[in-house]
Amino acid sequence: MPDYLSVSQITLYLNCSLHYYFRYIEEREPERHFAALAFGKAIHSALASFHESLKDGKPLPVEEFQRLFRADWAAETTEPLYYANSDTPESLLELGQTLLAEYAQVCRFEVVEAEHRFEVPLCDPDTGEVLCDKPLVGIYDLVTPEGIVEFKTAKSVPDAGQLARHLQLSAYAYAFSFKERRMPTLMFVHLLKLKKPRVEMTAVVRENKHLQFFTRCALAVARGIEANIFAPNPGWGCANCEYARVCGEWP
Amino acid sequence: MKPNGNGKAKESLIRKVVIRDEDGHLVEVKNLTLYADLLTAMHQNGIKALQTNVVQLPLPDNGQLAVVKAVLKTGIGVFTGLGDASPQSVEAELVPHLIRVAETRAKARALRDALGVGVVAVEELTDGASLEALTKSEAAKESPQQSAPADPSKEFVPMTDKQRQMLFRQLAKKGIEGEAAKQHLLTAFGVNDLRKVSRKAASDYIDKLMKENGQGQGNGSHAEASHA
Repeated sequence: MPDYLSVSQITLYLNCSLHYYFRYIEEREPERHFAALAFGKAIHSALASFHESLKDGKPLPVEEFQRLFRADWAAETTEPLYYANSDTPESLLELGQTLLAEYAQVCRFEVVEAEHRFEVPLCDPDTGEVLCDKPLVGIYDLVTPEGIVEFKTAKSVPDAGQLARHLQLSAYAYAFSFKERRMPTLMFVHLLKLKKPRVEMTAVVRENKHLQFFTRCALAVARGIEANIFAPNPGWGCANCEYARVCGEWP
Repeated sequence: MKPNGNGKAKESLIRKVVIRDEDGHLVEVKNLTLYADLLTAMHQNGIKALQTNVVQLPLPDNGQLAVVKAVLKTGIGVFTGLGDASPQSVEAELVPHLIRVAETRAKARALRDALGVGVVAVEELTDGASLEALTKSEAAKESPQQSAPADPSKEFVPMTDKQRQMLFRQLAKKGIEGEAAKQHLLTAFGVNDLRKVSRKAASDYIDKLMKENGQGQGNGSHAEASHA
């Protein structure tokens, strides 16, 4: 069992605690590796290098940025991947290069840190009372002087209601405000996997009530894990689950 | 992303190692780290350059003492380490390779500083005792009467995702991309599946490629030095 809580752990537990159990408690090898996840990883690692180059004041030329992605994608595709829809290794290679070229054109961020790891205690945002003996750990995709930028590869941008409840951004706002004693600006950058790929940036606002809600969620998750409460959540996510077979045989 | 807690990450670099005397008797169990693990961890954290310079050649008038300085450039700063080796501080079969041993020791020290690992690396030890890494549970059970545990260098630990990425990036710098890069690696490692490549072999080859790409001009080949 991990001795820390991460944002991905919390969201996974809330989406399907049995999935959490297979991944983090049993540390079970996934039955299938999904191309969409591998694509996201390759995009993120290329973005991290691009942002590092901005931080160093030597921005990578677009061609070099794309070459890094091609290398990272090649590394990802050495494993057999499960491709959804009409995706192929070649189509995703093309898509990734297009998206990153587009992003390089519109990126105006001042980079303080890229892929920056944080670790903070889980406290009540108002009283400072420590709620959990496990720290909250995560990685910001990008830190700017004003706050946090999070990148996603997706087919669409979440609507206003989804963004308002987005737990990952609340978690990041919590961690940032804990360290910096101020609320960060939050920006979502969606690299949209469309016929005509495009990059969309969405500013998101967080207030104290969001931080309170997040810490209550995190605490509930921590208690659920401690109590060994793991149950499946059958739904739309099952089609793309890396543990579909073993879940079918559960308990 | 699957972050590790700092403590957890550091803990994974520390091994229980059995120290035996020349007769094979257990002398003590020490907490040590391995150069190959340090290098892998550094590659995962982001390494910009790892350069070495010979400060002193081993000559008769200095007691055959080789001294090497390592300079490690990372995203969080520059770390240096000095390593030395003499016939008195290495095992007999390594005496012809004093510079390589000193280089490995220097790099290990720089890597330890960068990663915040306080325990000494096996490669820095000078007592010439035979070394065997143990798991915690094995160490707890170990007693002088028991048979020696397996040598960790013979255990297979697959390369990490980060290492695999680094290999492809280094090859891309040389103009070798996509399927050609994959075939290149399969041939270089002599495997039919990259999942069969060990962490240490990957580490050595990354080092080699980095040198070829001008990112760390060591005086000796890391692939050789890491065996020291």
